Amino acid sequence: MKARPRRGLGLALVVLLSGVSPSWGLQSDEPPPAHDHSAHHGNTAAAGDEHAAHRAALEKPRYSVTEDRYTVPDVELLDESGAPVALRTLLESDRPVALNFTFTTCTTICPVMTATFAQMRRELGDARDGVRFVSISIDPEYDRPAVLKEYAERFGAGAGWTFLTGDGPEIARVLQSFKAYAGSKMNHRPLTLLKSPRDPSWIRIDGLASGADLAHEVQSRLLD
Amino acid sequence: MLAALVLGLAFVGLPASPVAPADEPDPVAGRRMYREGIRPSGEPLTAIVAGDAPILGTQFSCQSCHGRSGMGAAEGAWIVPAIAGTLLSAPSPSHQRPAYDRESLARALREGQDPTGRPFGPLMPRYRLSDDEVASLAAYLASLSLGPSPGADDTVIRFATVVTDDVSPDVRDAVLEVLRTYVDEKNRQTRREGRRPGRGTAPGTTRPTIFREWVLDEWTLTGPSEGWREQLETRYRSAPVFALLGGVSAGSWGPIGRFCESHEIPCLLPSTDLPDAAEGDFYTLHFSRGLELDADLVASHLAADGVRAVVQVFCGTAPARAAAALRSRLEEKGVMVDDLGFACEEPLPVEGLASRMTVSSGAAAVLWVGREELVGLERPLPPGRVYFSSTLLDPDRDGTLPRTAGPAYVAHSFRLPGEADSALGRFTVWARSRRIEIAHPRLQAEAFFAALAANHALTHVGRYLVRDYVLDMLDHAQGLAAYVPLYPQATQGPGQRFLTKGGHVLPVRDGRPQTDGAVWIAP
Repeated sequence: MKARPRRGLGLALVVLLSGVSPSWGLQSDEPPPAHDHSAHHGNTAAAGDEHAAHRAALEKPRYSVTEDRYTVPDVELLDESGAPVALRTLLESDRPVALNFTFTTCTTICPVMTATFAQMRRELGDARDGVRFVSISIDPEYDRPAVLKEYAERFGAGAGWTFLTGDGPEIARVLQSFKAYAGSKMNHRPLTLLKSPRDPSWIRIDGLASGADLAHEVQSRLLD
Repeated sequence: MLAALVLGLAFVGLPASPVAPADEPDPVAGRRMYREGIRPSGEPLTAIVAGDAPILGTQFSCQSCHGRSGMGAAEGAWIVPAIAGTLLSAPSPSHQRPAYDRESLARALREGQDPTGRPFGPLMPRYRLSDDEVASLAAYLASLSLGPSPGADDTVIRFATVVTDDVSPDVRDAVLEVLRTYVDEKNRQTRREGRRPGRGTAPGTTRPTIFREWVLDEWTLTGPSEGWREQLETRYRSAPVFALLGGVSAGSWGPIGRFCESHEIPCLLPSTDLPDAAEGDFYTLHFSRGLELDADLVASHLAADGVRAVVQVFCGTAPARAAAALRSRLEEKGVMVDDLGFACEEPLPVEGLASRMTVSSGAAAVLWVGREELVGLERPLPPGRVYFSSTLLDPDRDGTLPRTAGPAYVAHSFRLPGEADSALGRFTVWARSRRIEIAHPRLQAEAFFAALAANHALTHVGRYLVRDYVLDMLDHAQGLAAYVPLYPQATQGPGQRFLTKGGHVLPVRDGRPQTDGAVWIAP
């Protein structure tokens, strides 16, 4: 039996043509994970270890650090108290910035990214007061300011860590400008961005870094 | 408090043992750890994630990643395995590991390794758990069903569509024709699938078909809403259903929603303007918050412009509920609210409205009325701003709004007038090619999407016909959002029970809502 990748277009065509979409592909031993249209879990009946690729992804070095230049779009977002925030002014100030993208009903990586962000702040100790921490929601329809406020409190975020939401199209622009746009929030990957006021480039940390890793990167690249 | 009550109801079906001896595994305690991250002592669970980040169970729990069903999830390249029932307690060929037992589960939870000693990825927290706590969690995981849930068996999956008798027969028939056609066609297309040669993962093995005949029952509820629950229970006892599909009511969906929560029945996308969902509800998925959303849109718009006094005009049950919702929003903000109810048989009390608006100068009028009530007004609406609700005006009906002396607005919780709606177009083509008359586009397109969503989720759960898994699957089915007709900016996610979250307030010119400069309001 052949693997049958289930992509969005395939589903769209089947639904369009027949109104219902019989599936001939899903007859593997284990339930498909609850997410949509991923090429990761086609019917790979012949493969002995269908999760080998994922395991490899987990076990290889956990993050990479690169540098890139981005133009922060001139958009107005809302912080967790509902106050408007000019994103460019916030990110291009005289303070170093650590930025990530999450959403509050995210399973899997976001709560962990939020936990590592919090741990990074603990690791930095007093040095954190010199850094601006920003988390931008990629689910702005649901993550209204009140939702972000509750989420921030749940993770003991405290002062100096701003949670932002906004209009869907504007958030999409922000993601695109940081090359962080994945089409769907469910395809979202762990990413942390750092910026020193002394340097026009952004430091891009792709992958799931621990709190100590992040603190080390912030300390050595932004503060020393 | 309410959430606790709902969870309390959900406990039905498991042995309740509040004073379980320490050496006896307690699945109820296990469930609390799994869902809420609270240990039997009442303290949150503690763990380390991603190497060094301490977390509390109240920040995220087992359910956050593995799903309410325990059937796992995936995000990007990150896969969370299924851990329900025998998926954990039997060997897994695809994960190349033997069965978990109590000891290896304890090692997995505390040290993050599978029974072969292979380490988990950094996303799986390493928990601090006592032996008793591990045992209770294991008992709960073992109790998670791999299906089939009630209403499904080896050959049939049963659904019901609830229609209340406050809905006119032609509306009921129009909606049911869509659902019946969809179900008949689904069955025609898959009826021979069960005879295809079994295709096991090893040569020569066969496995039962994953296809089921869909059976659709019609549950008509009659009389006052206080009697609906008993009628639902009777129908459910005589023929249990796997899920409720679509459905229409002119009144509150509340009693039907409570029924679904108490029996843990997915209630997929009913057509209602009064969802009346409770905090923490899991089983009902709605298109939008209906009239409550319209009330929120009006409240936001009034607040942005600093209006301090409002007169509301309404007749009938649903409009009265909308008025009550707006009143509570506005009173929180210190806005004065004056309610002017009238009998729907009577003409709209324009004079009464005018005199009340003069009493508080700068007051706005909110007209919670349908198009019927706006026909043949004897005099123009009074000066001052006036708001209408798109839900009550009915998106299926066209026509101009009455002349107003001041600015007029519509709280618009559907897609913008004139905006392309490919999902609605798809439904229209589908219906026309099946010779279905589209007399009620909104309700029929909603019913079509409900069936589409159910089919999508059931296709993806494959052989595991578990209600909670179907809902977990819908939470992650981002691709479905593009198929939602009528409602703008639909999104899903765990815990999100309304597809669309916001709307627009549109200015009215020459009796028609204008889209120039429409601003999205997400209350």
